Amino acid sequence: MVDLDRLAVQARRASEWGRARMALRVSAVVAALTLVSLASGTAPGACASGGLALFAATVALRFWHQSGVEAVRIGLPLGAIPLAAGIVLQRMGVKCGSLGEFSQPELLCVLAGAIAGASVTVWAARGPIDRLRRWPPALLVASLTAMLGCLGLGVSAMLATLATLVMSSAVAWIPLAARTR
Amino acid sequence: MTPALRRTIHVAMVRFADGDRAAFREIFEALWPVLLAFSARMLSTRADAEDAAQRALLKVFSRIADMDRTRDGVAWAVTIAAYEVMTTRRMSMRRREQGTDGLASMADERLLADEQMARDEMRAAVWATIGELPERDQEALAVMLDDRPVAGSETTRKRRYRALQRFRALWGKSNG
Repeated sequence: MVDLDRLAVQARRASEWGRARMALRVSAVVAALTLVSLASGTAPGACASGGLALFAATVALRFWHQSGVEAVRIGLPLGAIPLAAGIVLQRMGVKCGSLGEFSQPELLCVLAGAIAGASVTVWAARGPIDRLRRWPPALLVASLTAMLGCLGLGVSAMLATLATLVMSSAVAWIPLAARTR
Repeated sequence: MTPALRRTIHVAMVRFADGDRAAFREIFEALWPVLLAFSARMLSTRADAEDAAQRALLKVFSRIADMDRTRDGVAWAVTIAAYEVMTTRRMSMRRREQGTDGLASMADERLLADEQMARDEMRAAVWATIGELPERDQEALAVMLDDRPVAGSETTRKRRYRALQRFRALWGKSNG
């Protein structure tokens, strides 16, 4: 005779392990992005910490809910836009100014951040349900990914990118929210 | 199983796969009898059927996060159960082979193993398809596949024929 209570406990545990395995599958992508960031050579400690934060966020979101899986799917590639911009600038030997100064490199980061932020909103708002559940986590993942690329450029570039990303995403959300009302 | 129940289980499975942990009980309570009944129909002993159904249920839950939401969840679970039934049969066959004349069949073992594996995969696919048919058809086809003595009445023959027709149609749809 099967002990159904014991079987239920085992099944629940199996499902959580399965979910964890599925969540951890993103680690290869996060590791690759972190390695790219580390390869730029500047601020390796900060890049490693950023990579760790991105890993924790993506795994936790994927483990939590399907909205988290979709948020990671949206956030990682779109956050890679400012990340790529930051890496290219670093490869060109560009160093951003101190906090408060605004130079051309920051302008490029801001542009990349704005594109990524608006795109996050557009992609997260696709589909009739769970928009609000997808949008903030997608924005978080995109921000952490973008941060990885801009860490080596300095605090000024990083803050400019993140602020633009979040603001452009919020601005893009307004018409979408109004349309659904 | 009624189509409505099948749909309810599928919806609960999708909810659970999406992260709604509260759907666990609903799936567990609905899926366990289905898998147990399927295994019991395919295996001769109750103990083997329970083992296969338990393993199938644990596999279903461990893979549910990767489940294809567009396909029927119950059919997917029954497919897993079909593989578990095949494994159980293979294990009991091996147990029998480990008797005194087991050594005689060691020649060409690899070739035989490959052939056996291919045959088992085909049988598992057949059982999985049978699992999607109504219970009456499942019983009629199980008799044929198990090489049990077949009753020769006209009604049984017609039932088998109709079951085979439905099986062919389903097999064609799912396997081309």
